[in-house]
Amino acid sequence: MSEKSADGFGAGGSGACVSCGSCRSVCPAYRAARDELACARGKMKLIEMIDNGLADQNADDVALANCLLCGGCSSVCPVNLDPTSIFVARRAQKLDNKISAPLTRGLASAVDSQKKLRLWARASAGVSDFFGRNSADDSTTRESDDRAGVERFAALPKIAGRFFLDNFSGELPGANPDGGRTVYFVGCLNNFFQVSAAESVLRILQSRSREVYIPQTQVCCGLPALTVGDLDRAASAVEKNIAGIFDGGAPDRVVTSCSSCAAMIKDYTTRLVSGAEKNERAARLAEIVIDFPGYLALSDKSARKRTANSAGSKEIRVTIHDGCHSTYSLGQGRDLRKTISETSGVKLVEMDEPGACCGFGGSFHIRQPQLADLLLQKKLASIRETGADYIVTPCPGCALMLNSGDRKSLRKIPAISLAELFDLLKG
Amino acid sequence: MLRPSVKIRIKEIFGDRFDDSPGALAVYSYDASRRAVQPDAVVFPVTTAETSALARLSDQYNFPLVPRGAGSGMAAGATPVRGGVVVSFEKFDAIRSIDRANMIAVVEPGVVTERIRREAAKVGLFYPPDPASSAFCTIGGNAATAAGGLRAVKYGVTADYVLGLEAVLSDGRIIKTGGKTIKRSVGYDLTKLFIGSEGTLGLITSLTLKLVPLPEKRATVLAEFIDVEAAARACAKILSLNERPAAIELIDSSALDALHRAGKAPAGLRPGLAAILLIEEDGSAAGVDMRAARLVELLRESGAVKVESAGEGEASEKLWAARKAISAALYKIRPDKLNEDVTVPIAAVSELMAGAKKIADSAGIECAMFGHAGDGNVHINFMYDKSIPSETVRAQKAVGAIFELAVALGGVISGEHGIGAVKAPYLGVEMDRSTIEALRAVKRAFDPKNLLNPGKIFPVTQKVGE
Repeated sequence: MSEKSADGFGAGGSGACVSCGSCRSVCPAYRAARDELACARGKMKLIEMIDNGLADQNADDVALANCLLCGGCSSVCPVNLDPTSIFVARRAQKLDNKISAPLTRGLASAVDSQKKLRLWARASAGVSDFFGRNSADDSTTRESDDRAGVERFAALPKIAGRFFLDNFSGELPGANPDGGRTVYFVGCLNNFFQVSAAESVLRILQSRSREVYIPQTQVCCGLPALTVGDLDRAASAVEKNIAGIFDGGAPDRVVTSCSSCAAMIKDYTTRLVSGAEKNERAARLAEIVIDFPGYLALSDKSARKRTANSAGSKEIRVTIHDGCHSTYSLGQGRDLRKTISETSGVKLVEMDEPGACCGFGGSFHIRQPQLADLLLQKKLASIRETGADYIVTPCPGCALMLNSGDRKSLRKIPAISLAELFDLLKG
Repeated sequence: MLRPSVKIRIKEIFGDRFDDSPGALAVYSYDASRRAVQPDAVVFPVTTAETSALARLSDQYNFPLVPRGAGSGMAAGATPVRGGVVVSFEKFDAIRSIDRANMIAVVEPGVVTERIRREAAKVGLFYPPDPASSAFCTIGGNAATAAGGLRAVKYGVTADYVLGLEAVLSDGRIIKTGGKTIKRSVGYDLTKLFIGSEGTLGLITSLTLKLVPLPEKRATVLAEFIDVEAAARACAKILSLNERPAAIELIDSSALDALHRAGKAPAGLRPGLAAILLIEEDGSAAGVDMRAARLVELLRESGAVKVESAGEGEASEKLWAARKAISAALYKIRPDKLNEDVTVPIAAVSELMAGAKKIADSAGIECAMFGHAGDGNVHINFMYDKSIPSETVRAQKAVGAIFELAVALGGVISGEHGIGAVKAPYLGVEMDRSTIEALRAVKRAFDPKNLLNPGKIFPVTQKVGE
């Protein structure tokens, strides 16, 4: 049982669900499974029945484990409930029941330790290399759950020889004296696997800030721990990050290269820390954290930096996959669309339901590879309809998922970050 | 109670799409009416053959079948009354075809209504019916409840768009009703019989829908009123114009208050409004522009304190999303509600609303009104707290009075939600005995053993085999 109180997570609010069913319109787990237990309403009602002694304490274990915690239900609920938080609290209550898969619990325990995170990264990369080698020539369609999970590992980019934080940390100079102090929170996928993308972000941060500070001690944002309900561990990661971020001076902005990290920090920081001084910093952090597309739009007020396309090359068509955290926590991708529409050499073609989940869901795709694959295939179908050359997404996890699905198709549509798009345009 | 040997037979048909775990029985006990009775099992058919095999078993072993779409109905139409098997069509949800030349779609019953509209729009076609729950309700449920929605004033209701359907009868026989043609005069119209039958005559397994050309442009007009009568009069004036808007929705001050409390109110509304009118125009670009401008003028002349018009886009989407959030948001006012969708001829809307207010006032119960003023279907909601017995009694009396009022004004006790279990006791307020007996005769012909969604539509004095 987690020592950290789950009170800040709306525990006990499940009885307020009015049964309307609106959550079904956005829930990715529902879209894949099409079963009442997969949507927020089903879980809320079941929890209510359990609390009223009408159902067994463990009746909600399976359904609870299959929620992606995407935040969709909380965003559409017409009576303003926050089922996402209620489910986090519930998972915290059931931490000892170990309803989450061993793999995800293992990863959760690593979030506050750089050493453990490095081990995990290296292990994943090893698995990825192994399966990547073995499946390279296999052109048959997926036949089993195992293959679907394998696809994801096989699509992990090569692990970096030197991690981003090994190459860049501490105080770095910026080029804009009016640009304030920017802290760069790089996040695990960028740090271990997508180092050049992180470097592209850094270059832009430096060009627009007075100085850029990269905390050496930053660890995982804590989301993997939050999702299994290990609030203590999540809080430990958050506290380490707060200490690192405020080290050396109060930042004006904290920029992440991953929209999920930004959402985690924005939505959960204040709920996980305790103690007056920490709370003040936590509140400030929640105010100033922003993902990279958000930062670009924010810092674009004076100089309109348009990235010119290399002379002679034709326009690149891109479609935007927002990802759940960007859609529900960070403003529905408005900033990303604004930036892309103002960038020359790029044409934006919107897919059907750009906010629909790709199926990644952190560890969801490992627990429920079939359901995740259903979502992925629907997403890829929408993407193919656009005729885009690239998918731009603010979440490295989504990029991983989208790239894994298209590994074997005839026409690859790579999923890239905004920073990588700019690199492409420079030619 | 379902005997284990019978459950085994059902499992043989459905495999892992059979579920009798405690969790499943718990969550398939309710719908949006919040009434709840647990079934004995839940099945998820994905073919007509499976549905037919299940019906044969039901006929053989005499267990009830309770068909279900999204469980978003307000009348307890999808909740069991005495156990049985919930037949959920959620996974039976393919859009089989969209035929552009003939402007027809063939769909399975579990398809979410909004998805039909979206897919049709991709090929320049339009499925107009727009229930407020369109983002999550299913077309099978729409047909079974004769759903209406926001565009009925111009486009009509679900019944006007179902050209034919396939259904499984109580003994497992499969029938095909209607067809693909605009005109059809081939004996009794079984399609129309099934529309609104609420799962009591058969289980719908496929629908053929009529589509229309997609309008070139849409616009939204929002008018704010400090006098509810003025809003109702403006509505009547709009309806007397030579062309109708696609939707005319009225939202009263209680409903607006609920939206504010839920954080879903449209931005920028002035405080203290008595009502707002939310209107949609669609058609050719030139026509929409002309009519929207004409509406703005008419609304100002009718006493609106502010009128705004917007094209398609985020601002418009937000307004309609707010309208669709009202029904659930009302729970912010009181924990329980009795939610009625009486419908009267359009000239009687003012009188209905005034009468509803009187009824609410004399019952001492708060009443929120909103809805399809343009087609006479105003949702009248009595908000109360069911843990307070006196409030419950007064709210129920008020509902009875509303039904009497609607019928006296030449209207009906339900426009689009259906009777379900909730309104069954009130059937006689609207229908005389001969008419009810005619309905019972139809039910007996299709389902002599009363195994298809028992306890719905008819007052529960009906016994099995009656």
